[in-house]
Amino acid sequence: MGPQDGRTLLETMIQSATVDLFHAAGIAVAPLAANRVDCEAVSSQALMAMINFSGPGASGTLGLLVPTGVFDLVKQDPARPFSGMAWVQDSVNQLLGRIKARLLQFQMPLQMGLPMSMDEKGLMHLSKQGILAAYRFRTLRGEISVTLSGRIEYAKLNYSSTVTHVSEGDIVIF
Amino acid sequence: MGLKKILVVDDSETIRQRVSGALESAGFATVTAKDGIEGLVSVQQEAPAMVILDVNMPRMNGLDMLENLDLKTSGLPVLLLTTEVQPSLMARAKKAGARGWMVKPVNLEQLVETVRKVIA
Repeated sequence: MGPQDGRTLLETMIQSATVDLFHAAGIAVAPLAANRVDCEAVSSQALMAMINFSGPGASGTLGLLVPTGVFDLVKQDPARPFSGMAWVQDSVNQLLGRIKARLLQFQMPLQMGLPMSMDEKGLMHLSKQGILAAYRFRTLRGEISVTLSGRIEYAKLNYSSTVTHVSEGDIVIF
Repeated sequence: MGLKKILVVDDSETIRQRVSGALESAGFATVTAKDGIEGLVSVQQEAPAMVILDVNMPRMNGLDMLENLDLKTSGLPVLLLTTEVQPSLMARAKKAGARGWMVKPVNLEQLVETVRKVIA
């Protein structure tokens, strides 16, 4: 697969995975054009988390920036509330899991790190390292951004119809 | 007879809260742990009837915890709940004696139904 095709494919995967992730949480999101994150414009109130990944064809960091107003839309059990930071860390973990599952079909396995919270300094640091792309999504409560930084060897994306694996929501009893 | 106790091991506070809430609403008692080391201690101290276990966690991951549980001797049912989908990881869990693999995000009603089937 050529680099441009690979880039487009990955962009589609990230967009669909993000839409699916927030849809599962009952939050409607619409993809906007991929762009760079304006670090100066990120609100200090935004919830930010990141997770590292590595593998033979890719290594880097996936970041997720969510306005606090979006977290207010998340349904919670009042008896068992969780914090916005815990939620955004879980979300970036699940987002990478979804992208990873899609990449397996293209024979690009990834190892996932552990999700971490990120502050504005961390975002600036990632930005200086070189954010490959930022994917923006519109919601009723502001814009969500997904950032991707690191190394991606798009030419190694190679579709295989014989690769079968479980996917989100599946339950397999042994 | 007391409620059957389920141990939920996950580093995500969100998952621990959601899964525990769903299980308690369905009539189970729950305890939680944040990583594999806490999970092993909880198995010893709480004697749960079942474990729901994440894979990627700090300090000790779920598969290492699983292999430390000696399930073939204890018979303790364990269900993995993870974002991982790699067949090699599933095979490792199966070899260690896990009873099933659930990929996040799982519908909580289906999770409870699966717990009921496996624990029966």
